[in-house]
Amino acid sequence: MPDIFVAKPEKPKEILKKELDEILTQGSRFFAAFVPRPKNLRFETQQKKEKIVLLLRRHPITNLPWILLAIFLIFAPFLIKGFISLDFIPGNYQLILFLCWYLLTFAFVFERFLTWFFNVNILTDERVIDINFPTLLYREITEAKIDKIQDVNIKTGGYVRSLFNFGDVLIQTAGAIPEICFEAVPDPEQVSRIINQLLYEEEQERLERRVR
Amino acid sequence: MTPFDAFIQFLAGFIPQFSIWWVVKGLFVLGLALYLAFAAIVIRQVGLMSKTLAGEFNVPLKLISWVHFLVAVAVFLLVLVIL
Repeated sequence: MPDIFVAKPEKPKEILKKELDEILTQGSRFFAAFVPRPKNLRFETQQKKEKIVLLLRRHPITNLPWILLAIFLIFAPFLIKGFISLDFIPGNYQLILFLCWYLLTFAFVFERFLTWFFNVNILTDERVIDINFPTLLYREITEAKIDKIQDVNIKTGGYVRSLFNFGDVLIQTAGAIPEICFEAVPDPEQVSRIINQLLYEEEQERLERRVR
Repeated sequence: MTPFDAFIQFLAGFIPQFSIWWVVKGLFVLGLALYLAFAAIVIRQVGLMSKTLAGEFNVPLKLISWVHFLVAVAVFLLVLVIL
């Protein structure tokens, strides 16, 4: 008698691992938002044998609003000169005003870039780490051990997020901090798969009673 | 005569060569002094960030923060000299 329904065999974990390994060995550019196995990179609380699996930043498209504002600020003095005559201001004062304007514009651009560049999420073979610099000289480092992870949720949606494939990855933990959020990271599905793979490996390690 | 005009006239009488540009210069000096403090904090901030996440881009970023500080010092001195 023919079978009415034959369930497809589940992808063995080893095949999944291979697929993820391929993703993780793809070109790793340090100056990017999705950096698998970054080279020449260390973070402050990294332990000796701990390896960084993935480094994440906010998707580059999230920088668009401040980049557009910066472009406007660069051209603003010329636009203002086109509309208003500044002849009543002496030449040397105009020069200083001009220099101060560009100093402030540069400070704005540099601050925004630093915020994007150093606000990172790190996945290691041992932990999940969220590094934040909310204001000047203030930092927040949130971390959880991989084996404390209970649930991983993905939150995407909206026109821009769907178009550029980025979203939030919410990691629920059994630790002191109940939730770690990777905000606006590229390819959240891939991130979730990598976290699940790390969880599986951690479980395997525990079963094999390997002690690091 | 408005109270503001009277105040300006009073100042002009009080200080024989009073000019509104003195006030502007004072504001520039004060603003740039604050900006210098901010530029110094940026150097510290980049240092803290580089310590937290050490990579190959840290040296150029530190260099940029120092150049930014030196440019701010140059503009501050320029204000003192040419205004």
